[in-house]
Amino acid sequence: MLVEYIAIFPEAWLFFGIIIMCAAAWVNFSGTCKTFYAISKWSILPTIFLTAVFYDRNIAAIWENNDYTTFFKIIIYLFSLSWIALLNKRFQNREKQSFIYYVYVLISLLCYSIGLSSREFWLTALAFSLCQFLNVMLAKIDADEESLHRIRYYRIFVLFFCFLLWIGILILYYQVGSSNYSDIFTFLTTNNDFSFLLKLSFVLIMLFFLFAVGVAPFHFWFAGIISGCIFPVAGFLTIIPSLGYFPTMINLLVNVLAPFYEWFVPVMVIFGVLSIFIGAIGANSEENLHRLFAYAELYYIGVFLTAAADMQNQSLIGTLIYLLIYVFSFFGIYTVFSGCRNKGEYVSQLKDIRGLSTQRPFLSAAFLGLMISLIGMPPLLGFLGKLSVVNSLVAAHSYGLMAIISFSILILACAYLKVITVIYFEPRNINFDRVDKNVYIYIVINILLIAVTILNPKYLIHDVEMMLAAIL
Amino acid sequence: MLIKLLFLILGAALISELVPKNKLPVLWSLFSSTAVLYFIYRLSLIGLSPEIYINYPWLKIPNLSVNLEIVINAANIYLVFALLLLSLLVLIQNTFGRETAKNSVNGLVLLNLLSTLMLVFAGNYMQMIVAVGVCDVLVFSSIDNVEAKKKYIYANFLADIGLLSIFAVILGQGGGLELSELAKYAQFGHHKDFVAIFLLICVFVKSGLFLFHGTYIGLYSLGFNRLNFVLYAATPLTGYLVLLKTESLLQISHYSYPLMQIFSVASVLWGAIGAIVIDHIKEKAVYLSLMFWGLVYAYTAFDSRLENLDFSLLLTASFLLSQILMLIYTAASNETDVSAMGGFLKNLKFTFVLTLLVLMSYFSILINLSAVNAILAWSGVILLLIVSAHIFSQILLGQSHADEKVQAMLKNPSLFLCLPIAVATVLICYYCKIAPWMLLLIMTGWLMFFIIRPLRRLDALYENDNLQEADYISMTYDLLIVTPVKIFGRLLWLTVDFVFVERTIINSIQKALNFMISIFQHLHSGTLSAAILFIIFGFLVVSIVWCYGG
Amino acid sequence: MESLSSLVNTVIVVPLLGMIFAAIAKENIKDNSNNALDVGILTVFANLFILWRLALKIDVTKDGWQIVEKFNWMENPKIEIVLGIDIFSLMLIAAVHLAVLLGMIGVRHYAYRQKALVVLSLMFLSMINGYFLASDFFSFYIFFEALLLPLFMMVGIFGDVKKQQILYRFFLYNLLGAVFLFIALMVLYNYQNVSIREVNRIVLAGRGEVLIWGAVFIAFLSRIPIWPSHYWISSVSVNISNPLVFIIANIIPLSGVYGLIRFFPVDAPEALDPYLLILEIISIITMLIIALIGFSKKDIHYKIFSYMTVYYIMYLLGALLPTDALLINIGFSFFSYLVIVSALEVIVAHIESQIGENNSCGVLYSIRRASIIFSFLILAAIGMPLSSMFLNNMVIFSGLLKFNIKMAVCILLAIILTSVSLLQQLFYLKYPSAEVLASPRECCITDISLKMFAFMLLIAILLVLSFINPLWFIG
Repeated sequence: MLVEYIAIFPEAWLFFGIIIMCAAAWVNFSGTCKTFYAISKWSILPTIFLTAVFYDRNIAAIWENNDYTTFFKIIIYLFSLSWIALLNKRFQNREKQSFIYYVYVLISLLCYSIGLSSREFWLTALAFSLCQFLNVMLAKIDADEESLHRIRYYRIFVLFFCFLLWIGILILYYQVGSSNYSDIFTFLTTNNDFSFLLKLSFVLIMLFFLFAVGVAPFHFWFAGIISGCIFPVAGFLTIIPSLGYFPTMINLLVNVLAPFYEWFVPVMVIFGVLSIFIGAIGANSEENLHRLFAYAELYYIGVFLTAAADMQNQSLIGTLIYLLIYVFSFFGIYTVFSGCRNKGEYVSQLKDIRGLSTQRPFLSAAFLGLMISLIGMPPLLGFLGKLSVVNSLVAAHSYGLMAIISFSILILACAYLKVITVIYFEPRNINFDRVDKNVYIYIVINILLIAVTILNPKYLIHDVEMMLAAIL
Repeated sequence: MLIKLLFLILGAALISELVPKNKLPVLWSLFSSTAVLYFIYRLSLIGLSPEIYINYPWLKIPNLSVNLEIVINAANIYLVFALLLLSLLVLIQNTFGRETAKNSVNGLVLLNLLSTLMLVFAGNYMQMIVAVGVCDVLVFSSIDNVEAKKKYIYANFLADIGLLSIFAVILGQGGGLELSELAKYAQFGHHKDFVAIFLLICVFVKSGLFLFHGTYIGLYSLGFNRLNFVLYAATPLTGYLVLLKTESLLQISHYSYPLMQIFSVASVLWGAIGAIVIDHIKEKAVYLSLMFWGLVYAYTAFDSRLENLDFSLLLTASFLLSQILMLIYTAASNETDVSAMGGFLKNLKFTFVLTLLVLMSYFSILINLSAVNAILAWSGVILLLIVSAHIFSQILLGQSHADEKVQAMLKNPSLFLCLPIAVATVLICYYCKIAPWMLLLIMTGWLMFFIIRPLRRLDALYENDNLQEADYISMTYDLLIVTPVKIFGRLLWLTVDFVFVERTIINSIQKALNFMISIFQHLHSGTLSAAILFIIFGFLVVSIVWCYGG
Repeated sequence: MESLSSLVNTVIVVPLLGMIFAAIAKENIKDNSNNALDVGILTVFANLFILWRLALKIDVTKDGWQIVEKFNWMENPKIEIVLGIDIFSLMLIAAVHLAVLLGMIGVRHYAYRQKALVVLSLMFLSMINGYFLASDFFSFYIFFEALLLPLFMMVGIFGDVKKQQILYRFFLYNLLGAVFLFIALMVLYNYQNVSIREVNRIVLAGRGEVLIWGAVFIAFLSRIPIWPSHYWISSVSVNISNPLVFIIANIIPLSGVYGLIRFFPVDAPEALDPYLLILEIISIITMLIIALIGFSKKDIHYKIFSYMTVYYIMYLLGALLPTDALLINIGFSFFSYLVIVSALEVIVAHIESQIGENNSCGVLYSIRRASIIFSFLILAAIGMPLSSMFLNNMVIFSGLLKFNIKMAVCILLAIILTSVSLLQQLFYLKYPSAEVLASPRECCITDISLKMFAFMLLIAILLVLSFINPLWFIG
């Protein structure tokens, strides 16, 4: 019995790392920036290894590790590790800040991991609620007055939607008599006649997830927060949360709340389409790079939502391929951003990267490739994602949605073109700092992975299929 | 043998083109002349009724299988000789006359000879069109004056496109490539009037008949020898040869012969008038050629086709007459205005004799042609008599207006220039059966005209600058076609491109996107109320779906 | 034949390898070294050699793909990349190679970001090769859209496009076309996965047929300067002074024409007939409008653009005829057409680089070598018997005249107008006006180098050879 608990060994290791970091902070703050980074690194690295080792261990009905959860956990850990490794110099001589950043990141990772593997609603809700508050805390690091003002609003909404989530879970518990996924699923499949309260609980839970992912019309917080926070946080908040919330939401909709779901498909589609348009137009209206890419992300989230709306096998394969590719590309873009510094500060405005190509041709080329990939242009990786999504929509005879997704990319492309134009066709007005070699290493790895994947995408697709088989 | 001879000419042409333009011109010209002379000699050895037929598969691409045909028989042997003779004369004149870039011109003359021969040999219209096109390119290259070049290429390019279109129509309707098959077009073809009329217009343009003669009038700035080469051995000739080869197509339309009649008669008359009233000696030569081509076309138009030998003789005679004008022009130190000549007879007696000889041969041919069509022949004789007598009388007998320098330098051109003309004239006389009494009568009449000069009052027109310098045809084309097209093009750019596309379509799209962005920015003001509005909207969507869709 | 099949993908791979070598080539602006450019030229020559080897093995008389190579790319959805070659593709690939080669020779003295220029042009070459070799839906689409990236970058960096909006429009408009194609192909693929030559086997229901084929049409037409898209294509074209970029930008309509040629089934669904008629009418109106504008404008770039557009549309209309018989003639004609236009552009760029902002009237008068080449090219361009355009255009005309004489006459009119425009330009550049002669230029105008002249003469010989026999290189 006790041996079952080995399934949470990776999370336990992560938790242990958090404790060690707190202890290190408590012992001495000065000169510990590198220590915090090392602790983070050595917390995450073994966690990745352990997650892979215990990829199929479960704890009765409350914890499940399978291909699906393991895959996403490893991806989250890998990206987080890369990200903190890439930006550790940002926290030099900023010990307190670095502690807060690393510890929040580690706690967030722990929460996402719990959320992904948990089979109990209360545990999932707890983990994700905590994640939401951690987002607030992360955003507050070194934020200016204006951003703090926005964060205050955001905190209110986080509270509100967490409240909705908990209400939803309580209602569900009240109706079903359990918060366990299996029990709920059994109950819902045996009782076809759903009460108002059951339906309400479903809606409330879904609203939280939609808010957490940042789907329109609950997207208002995302761009505001991202633009105000420091660069390491912006990158983290752009890449990681969607890898936590979105798979969990899919898992819930497929394995737990499936009987409820059918009527909710139009909502998903409407929100998805709305996200697509708001994201595309929003990106065009921005001069701030963080906000621009935040809106671009909204577009992609809209595409996930629209494509996955029917929660069928083919759609989910397409959507998850798209999700992975998008995250991969965004990571690449933020990696390039990390190489664009002027007098030690990361650039954030469009005008700051004017003529980047003349001084940093390699970074510019990577930027260009990644953005073109995000437009879905062949032969780059983004095309594979577009192909998967559109193919799934055509297979489902959703021609209208296919057309919306395909044509709306043109609006988003305008925004990307603006960025490309600024980088390549405009004269440079600032001197960029020397680029850390880590940035180049990450970009090269990124490009190599893209090249391998585009030349032989069978492995990626096979992995996604295997992963999905675990939950379908 | 024939292939070798053709390659000999090609080789000589390429050498002439590749050697420096003005290096050892006499040597290279003599070399080219020898090559042509050798060709004539070898050809003469096979007699006047040869049967040489060489068929070489040239092009085998889908939809098009073209053979290169080289045919010499009794039907074309005289024409081949005439072409060789004309080219030889041009080359010799080039050798000893004043010309710029002689080697290059020799090369072009030889290449043109080859392409014209290929046109003569052509048994299919692909070979024919290619030969015509190549000839155009060569003549274009040989013209060394910009305005003349312009006029030449515009007109002939259009004619070539026209020819191409006509044969494309025939090809598209399943007609074979063989010229002999064209007669069947009447049975299977469509757009017969279009084909026939368009074909006629194209050959008119190429031959520079009335209304299309502006192309050649502009050539007056060329060297005289070059001018004669173009007028008689090049493009106008190709036009006529095309007509001969495609004559069966004319029969498919009722309009073709009347049209040809109108144009040919008008050309003869306009040529005669022009030759009389225009002062410039080279322009006179052009009008004389217009008259000549008009006459030749008239024979076809009035259904009395010229025999191969007759046409060859007529062509040579006409060319020689033009060469005589060239000799006078050379003798008069390149004086261009006939009004500035006069009284040259005492210094140019030999030239005068040569002129009489050439005219006698010309008249003899025309008299012979009266058997084919008496009216045309005699009209030709009378017009030629009047025009030539008027021109030569003005130059040789009229009151001298030449300046002292010209007068002082005036003498018969060198023997090298005169002799070839004399030999060629003798050759003509040998081939055409001269009717001595008739010729005597005509020559008497000519001499009377020559001495009396009944049209001397028209000399006053030489003083009329408007008449001498006006280019009514070009002005008309410019006014009716070029300017409206340019204005229309400009208008289209303004309306279609600028106003419609730029200001309407593109601006609308741009404004629509800006409008959406402004709405977006209003909604995303970052205030609490905006956020609440979004949340309410989200809840509203869920509620509606719940109520109506769920 | 099996051993040759790998050569098909080599045609795509070689420029990519060249691109990598060019990217890492040492660039020294101070000593004016052209390492990257040399790599580029060598790459093009290498690929021409490979093409020649391929050509020797192709049976000209046979229809359809001759050397086919397949790669299993994906399992879900099942996508197989199929590459093949026929004589039509071969001619186009060869023409594009020669065009790019000419462009590269033409930019030899352009120091500004030469490496980037070579890298991008080799990328473009690889992509367009792939496009001409693609024989399945996906590879066709992939290369169709992938062409845009190098094009956009080249036009953006080297195009002297003053207004960025024009650049955006150009890219977005092309991207829109690609989206249409993508949608259509996805739907067609989900109906039945066939090769593009068998696309007419797919039977779509009622409106679907019109919509999908309509999307295919729009996609390819977006690349061809047909009204109203001609505007932003012309806006881009007239602003490009770099010959290589101009050539590449003007190869793009070829991708549209080629797409329609490959996709348009001879026995097209009847439901499309009215739309086809509308398309033909719009095409002809466009031809006439552009020819007229070209006639009235003085800008030589616009004149060349207008000439290219008219010919592209003529080829398009020839391809749209309900017969496949003209395909090979279109291929032969295309070959000369592209080479001529590219060579013309190189000379024009040389002239412009020499005169700067000065009046170009009579500039060729003092530069003899350039003048000879320019005259030859203009004469060949207007359809004199100096290249394979002459006879093959006649065959294409015959097809057009056979099916619709009124339409064909309008086409002829447009062709005449553009040709006369080119002639006007020849005279303008070649013969100085009296005013120009009266006040000679202050700046010294340099003729094209002897090497360039020799190369251009080779090109001229190549054109004449193509007139004598378009397939001279395979005997």
